[in-house]
Amino acid sequence: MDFSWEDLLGGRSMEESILIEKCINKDQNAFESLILKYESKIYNLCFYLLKNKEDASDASQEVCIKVYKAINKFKGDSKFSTWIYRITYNTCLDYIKKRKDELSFEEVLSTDSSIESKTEGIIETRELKFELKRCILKLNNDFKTVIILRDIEGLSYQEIAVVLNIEVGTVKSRINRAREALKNELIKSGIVRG
Amino acid sequence: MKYEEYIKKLDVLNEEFEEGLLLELQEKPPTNLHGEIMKSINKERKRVNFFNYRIYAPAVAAVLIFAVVINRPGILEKLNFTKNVEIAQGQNLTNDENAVQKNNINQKEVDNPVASNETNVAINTPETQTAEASTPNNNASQQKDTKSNSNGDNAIQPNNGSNTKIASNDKTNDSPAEESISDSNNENEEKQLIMSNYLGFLYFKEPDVNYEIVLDVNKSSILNFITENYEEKLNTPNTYKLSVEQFDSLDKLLINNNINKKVINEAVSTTSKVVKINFVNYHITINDSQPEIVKFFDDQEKSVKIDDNTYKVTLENMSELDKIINSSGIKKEFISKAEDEYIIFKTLIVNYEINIDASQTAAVGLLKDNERCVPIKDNIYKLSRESLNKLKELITDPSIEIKVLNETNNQDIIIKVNNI
Repeated sequence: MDFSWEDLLGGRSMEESILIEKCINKDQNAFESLILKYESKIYNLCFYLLKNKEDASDASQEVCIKVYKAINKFKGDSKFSTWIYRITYNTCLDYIKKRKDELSFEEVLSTDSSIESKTEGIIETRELKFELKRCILKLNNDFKTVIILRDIEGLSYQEIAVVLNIEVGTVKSRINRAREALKNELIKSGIVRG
Repeated sequence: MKYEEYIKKLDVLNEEFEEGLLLELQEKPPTNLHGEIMKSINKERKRVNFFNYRIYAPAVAAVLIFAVVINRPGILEKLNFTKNVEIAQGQNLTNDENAVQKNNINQKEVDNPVASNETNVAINTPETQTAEASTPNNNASQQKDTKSNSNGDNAIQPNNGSNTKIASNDKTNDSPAEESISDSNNENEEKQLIMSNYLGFLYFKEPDVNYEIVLDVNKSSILNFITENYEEKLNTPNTYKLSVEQFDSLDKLLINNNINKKVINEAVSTTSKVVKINFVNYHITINDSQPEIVKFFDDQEKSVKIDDNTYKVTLENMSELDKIINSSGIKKEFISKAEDEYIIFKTLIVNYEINIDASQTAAVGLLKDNERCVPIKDNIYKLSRESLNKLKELITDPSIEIKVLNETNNQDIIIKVNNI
């Protein structure tokens, strides 16, 4: 029977396991390498959940500090990425609870510089991408989270279940409902026909 | 485009979606996020270190002081001399503590016969000692068997302030021996204080920063160079030690990117250099309608110029600046979170404004030449004074004038171009 290192290490690569081990031993450089690998994923989830670049930056920093403090508690029962997503998700929920006045998605999109390109050739594609992003941001947090984790970040149902601490069956049904809600939003904005 | 496929699949919801179809919708993190994260991590590490220091440093200091004191010649003799122990005890050693306080009788166990004075007379005997009462209102002398003194409480009980315990600073005793106890204790305390401070100093001492640079959001190549090539990352946020060779390469990179480095301290080490990076926190664009802001940045008491158009403002002065900014109706553009006790502003002061149309082909051509006229923001360009003069020459329509918004003596000027 063949085993890969990843199977033996709970979905982690050998390199990642060494990095984690070094981090537990307070190796700053190892931690930096690990963060470099995950910071964009952390930021992405924070951005979609918090709908605000500044908050997403702050929350990402908070997540990294939590990871730094708690890395010695990582037992390796789940994938490291799943563990990080879980911390990120919980941190964002705390942020949302703390934040009284949520930003409207129009405000979010108005600050999004990535969609401000005026190059005519790619404007249509950008508009489609923009609309899709806008519609995702309009979804409620539960739906938005599963869409981000499954369709943007590419996590398996099992991994999403671990991140959100729910059953796999619940994940599947929630994803279906989330996509339906997304479709309705796209219909409203004229991207998809009803 | 995978997301187009995703949208098509949404039409038929029952179809199987493969994961990660919307990968292209991933939000790119800001370029300075990594730096910010590492800054917070360093802060956290420092905080934890400080916490550990608070716990362990006094213990370490005490051990060190003890070791230093013990190893000093003559100290042992001094310690032997000061070994006199004062014991507060009652008339009967089997009495409880109340008896001691009630009778106000002091007895002194003296190992060293030199330690005596007029009021506290002590005679040293191997097994027993005779002691006269130290207080004038009780002259009864008592003889006690020291071996029977098993009451530890009595031994350490303070007695109406007339006696002192060892290691106390009470100088009410006249005995030279006791004075020497106090003196040596004071000396110890001073040493302990000095040693604690010295340990604290050792603990937090950072190597001197040789150079400071200011990085804007678009200068990630320099940040990348430093983070990839540093020799050591220091505890001070964004401070890196580089080998001389790497520093020379960095220097070239800085020159190519028109970034000045500020000399803080000429190199102490010949093998490495320490560079601190300051990140720009806000961008602000100023034109002729905001003279108060220009005035604010020009006022050296309120802001410190650290580079061309880059200013450091302390938190104390921020409220004033914010008021001016708000009343001027302009917006400060957030770039990165300030970590220090000051905020760094990169100002874009627009010096000139021109309204020009496409008929001025030669002038427009110059403005579109990115080498001579560097685009900075929407319709805002940087050009040399020489190019500005050339632009004036190329304008054929006399009705088109270059409006002066904020005059400057700089070699490079900033111009806003409308209706191009």
